[in-house]
Amino acid sequence: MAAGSVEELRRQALEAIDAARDLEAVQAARTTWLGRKGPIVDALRSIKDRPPEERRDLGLELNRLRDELEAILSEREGSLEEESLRRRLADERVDVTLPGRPRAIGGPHPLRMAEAELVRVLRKIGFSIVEGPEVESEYLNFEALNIPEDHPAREMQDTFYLRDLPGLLLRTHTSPVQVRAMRASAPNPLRVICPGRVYRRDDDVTHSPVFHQIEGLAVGEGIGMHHLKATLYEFARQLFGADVPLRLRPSYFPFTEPSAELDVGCPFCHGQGCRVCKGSGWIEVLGSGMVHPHVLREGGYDPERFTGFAFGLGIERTAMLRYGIDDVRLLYLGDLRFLTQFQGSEA
Amino acid sequence: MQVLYSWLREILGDLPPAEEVADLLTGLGLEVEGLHLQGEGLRGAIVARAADVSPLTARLWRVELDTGSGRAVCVTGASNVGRGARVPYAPPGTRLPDGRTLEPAEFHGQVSEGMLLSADEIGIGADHDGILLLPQDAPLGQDLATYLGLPDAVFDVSLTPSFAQHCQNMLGVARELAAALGLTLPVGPERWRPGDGDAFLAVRTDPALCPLYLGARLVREDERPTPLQVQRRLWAAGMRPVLPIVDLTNYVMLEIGQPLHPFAEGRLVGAIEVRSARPDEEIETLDGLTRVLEKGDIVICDEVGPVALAGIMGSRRAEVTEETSEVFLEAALFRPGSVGAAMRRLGLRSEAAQRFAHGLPGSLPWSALQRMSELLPEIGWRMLPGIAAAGEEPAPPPAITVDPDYVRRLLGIDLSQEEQCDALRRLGFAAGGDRALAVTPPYWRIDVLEPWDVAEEVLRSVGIGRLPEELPPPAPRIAEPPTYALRLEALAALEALGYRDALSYSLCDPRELEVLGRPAEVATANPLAVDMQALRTTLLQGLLKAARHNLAHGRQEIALCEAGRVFGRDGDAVVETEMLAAVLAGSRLPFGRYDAERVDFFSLKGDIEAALRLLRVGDLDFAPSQDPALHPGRQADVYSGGRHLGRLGELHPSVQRRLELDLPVMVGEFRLAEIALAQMTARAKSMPRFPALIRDLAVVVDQAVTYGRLRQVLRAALGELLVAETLFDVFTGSPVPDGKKSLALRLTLQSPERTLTDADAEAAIARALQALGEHCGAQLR
Repeated sequence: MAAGSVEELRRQALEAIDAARDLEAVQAARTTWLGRKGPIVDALRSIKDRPPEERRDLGLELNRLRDELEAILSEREGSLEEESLRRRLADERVDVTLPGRPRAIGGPHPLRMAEAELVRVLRKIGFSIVEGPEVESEYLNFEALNIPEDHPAREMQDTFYLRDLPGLLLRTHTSPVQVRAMRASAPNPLRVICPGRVYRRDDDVTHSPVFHQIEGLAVGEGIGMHHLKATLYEFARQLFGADVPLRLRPSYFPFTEPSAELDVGCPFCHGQGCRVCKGSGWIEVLGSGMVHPHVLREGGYDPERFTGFAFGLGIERTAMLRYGIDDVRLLYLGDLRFLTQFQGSEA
Repeated sequence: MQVLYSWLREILGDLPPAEEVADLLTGLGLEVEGLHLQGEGLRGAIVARAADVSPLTARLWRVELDTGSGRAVCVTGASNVGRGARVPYAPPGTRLPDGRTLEPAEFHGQVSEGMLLSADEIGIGADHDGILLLPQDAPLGQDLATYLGLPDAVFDVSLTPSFAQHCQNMLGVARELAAALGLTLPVGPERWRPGDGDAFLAVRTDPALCPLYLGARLVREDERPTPLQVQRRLWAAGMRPVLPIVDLTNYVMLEIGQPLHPFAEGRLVGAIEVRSARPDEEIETLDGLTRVLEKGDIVICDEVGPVALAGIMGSRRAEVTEETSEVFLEAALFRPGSVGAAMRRLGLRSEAAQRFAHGLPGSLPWSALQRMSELLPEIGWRMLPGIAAAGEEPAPPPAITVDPDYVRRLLGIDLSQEEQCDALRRLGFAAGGDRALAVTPPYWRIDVLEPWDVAEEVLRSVGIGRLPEELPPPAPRIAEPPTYALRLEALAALEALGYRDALSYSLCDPRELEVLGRPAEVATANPLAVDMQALRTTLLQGLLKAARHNLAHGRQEIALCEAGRVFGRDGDAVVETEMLAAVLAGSRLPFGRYDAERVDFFSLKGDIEAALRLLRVGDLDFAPSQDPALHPGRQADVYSGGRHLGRLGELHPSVQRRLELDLPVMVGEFRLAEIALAQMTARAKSMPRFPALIRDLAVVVDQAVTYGRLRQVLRAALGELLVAETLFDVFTGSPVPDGKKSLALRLTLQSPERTLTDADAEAAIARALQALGEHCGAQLR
């Protein structure tokens, strides 16, 4: 084959490649022109039949032609592939505003959310969880907590008693767990919280016959009311923010003396006075005090040596304040329209 | 308790503004829950005289008024205005506290120039039946608000039991306020000296029930109305003025805290005895109801029988009426516990009972008689010399010895002994001593008995704001009950699968428990309502109730869960068991573009399997169970490693109907303690080193053969070679013969020791088929 024929070969090849319109045709052209049975390989194979003086130049020319065609074919393939991908992607476009495949999501009860938050903060301050029975002895619910039979404080807590089970009742507060915890730990220092269900014969917009409390107790040598104050203030700041106004107010509970209630500045009106705080600018959060010596003795601690403080709050009340719930009964209806409000709304 | 600002001012003199007083009281522990201004907004009303009164119709009167500077005519519907009476007159243009502005009005052709006012309209009382009659010396034409001292503040004070003993009266509140303001403490009336009268009536008492009983004789000398001031103060306290002599006893009670009881003297027969009621003894109380008494209730008796339920309410028989001109006035002390118990049992929370129930200072009956004797002339009555008495005045509580260091330690406030004494003296205590404090409470504080009581008084006196803030030293943590964390973890697992935590009451209707085949074992003795009588034996009752509620509100996607306790009984003990329950009904997803699959037994089963896996509970077995509340063919006991965790199933259609649920409901309930015991510790295993072989196998068995049984046989036959089996098809119908089903499984075979060959797999399959044939009657399909 002469040099002119290589040129002719090139012209024909380029013409054929140029005519290939799609990826398949390009690939066919590659097989035709560069394949093992193609004219270039053929020509290279037959170089040995040529006179020696022509062999070198012819070989160079043929190899150059093969490289050139290879480059052109690759380039064509690349652009055609890109073109086809572009078309596919255009075809695959979706309306991203159509709804996603929905997943049914569940979630916690607002009361459990409030409880979890209270527990988290109190654990951080150093308290451990203890639990006690909901059916409690009359003795631990009242007498052991310095509330004897005709004590006026029994009026404050209307009690459910049990049929055919004298001496037992539904606990009216989580405080009996204090005594149980003390009996289990005396004379070691103690920092416990007792969350749980309690019962009172009461049913209206703000009182539910079944509700939840969380109780805190610290006992040890040298525990004073200043420790109570710092603990409650730390707790309230963690819960309501570092600059929330706080005040302790003298109060009364039979199982603590002195007793105090903790008020926080109303988070709704910032102390201006509103419906939630009944215009006072303050919201009562919890009751507390120094554990009464009779209660310490019931718990197995010598009140001459040991002192302690206790506090308790209603979890319903905390949840109602935190999530703006105005009727406590909503918490116990199991109404999914209500329960699903506490996460992002369902689409 | 309602406290009038003007009354405190009368006792103490000048006071800071009402808002400041409210804060001070709250700071002392007398929490002011509300502050209300009486007569706020009243403008333009004046004092007038009814110059002439004539009937206009059967129910209306025409009143001609003398206003001091002129005349006016008013029409009124009130019948208590007589000629010459001084009345509050609101001419046209007057603004009333309720916001109204008066305009002239016409009645039956008579123009009424404004109106005459009732106590209610002025804002000082609840009485709106009649016109407020003013004293005859009220100056004509004077501005009514000025004359009545309006606006006046009323504090709504919430009294804790600790204050109910010494602050259920104006004097007590005034003392607290005086201490806070550094004013002289008002001590209260002297003791009455009965003079040289005879003991006109014999009295006997049981000292355990009534340590001191005093009786004085009162006579009427003139008919005078209850002073307006007294009426206003009774109204403010929520009491209704009735008769001057009765009003005055109530007034003294409000002022100093001693309840008094007037008996119509002519109605008493013979000597007085204070004793415990006899069982089933009856008395007709002043409210007209016949009360059945119990032993332990205290009664005042004459020779005929009970004439009063001591400290709580008088009887009809000895009731004081308008005709009464002689009164036997009782001032006594009764055992607080007895009065409190009777008050609660009978639901008779009279003002007197609420004071007696908290105890009274021993000398108070004497002071009350003194105060009455001072006030009686204002209503035209007089106290005669002489007294009928029994019992002895109880000694005041003894002095208390307190270590000042104890007070410092308990409060955490660095107060010197002298500071502590000063603090106590401000509250009326006598305090002194060299090393230990010797503290003597004032007569009105019979509740301060112990060193900690004294510490509390010191704190109140120095102010709770003095407490420093110091975190307590750390204490070792104790082991927490594992159930607490597990309960939350179990709920979280179900929540992750789409269930919503719904809390329900643990008190419920026992009938709903019976429908579920779980009758109540514990019930309250004093239920609030029928549907809150029993303690739940299953969480499903509450969840099904919630499901019904949601279905009734048009919600078709029900997935609820709850963790809580159920209550059983073991002899005289109550057993509380922690449960976890789930209820599933309707669809998973609301109607929409994507599949809204209806849930069935296997939906809940899959959820429970997934939840238990999330809780690291494996090796689950499901065996058909026989719970009459569930569909007989769609229920199973759930086991893990042979441990019974609980049960799940579809509600029996008849139970579903009885619970008014209009679609099939899946339920499951599990014992949390069993789940805890079945939990595995998380532990890494080494990864398989040799490849697995996959083989599919389809067999035909009788309908009655369960997949569980098949799997059991398969596992036994292949041992550790079988690392997983997946059921991918259950088929009935042609070509599978009637009464048979075809099950298709994909088996994953793997050896921990070597690479399995095809021959190994074939041998295994042959082994499996042989075992399945032998034990399940299975044939290769």
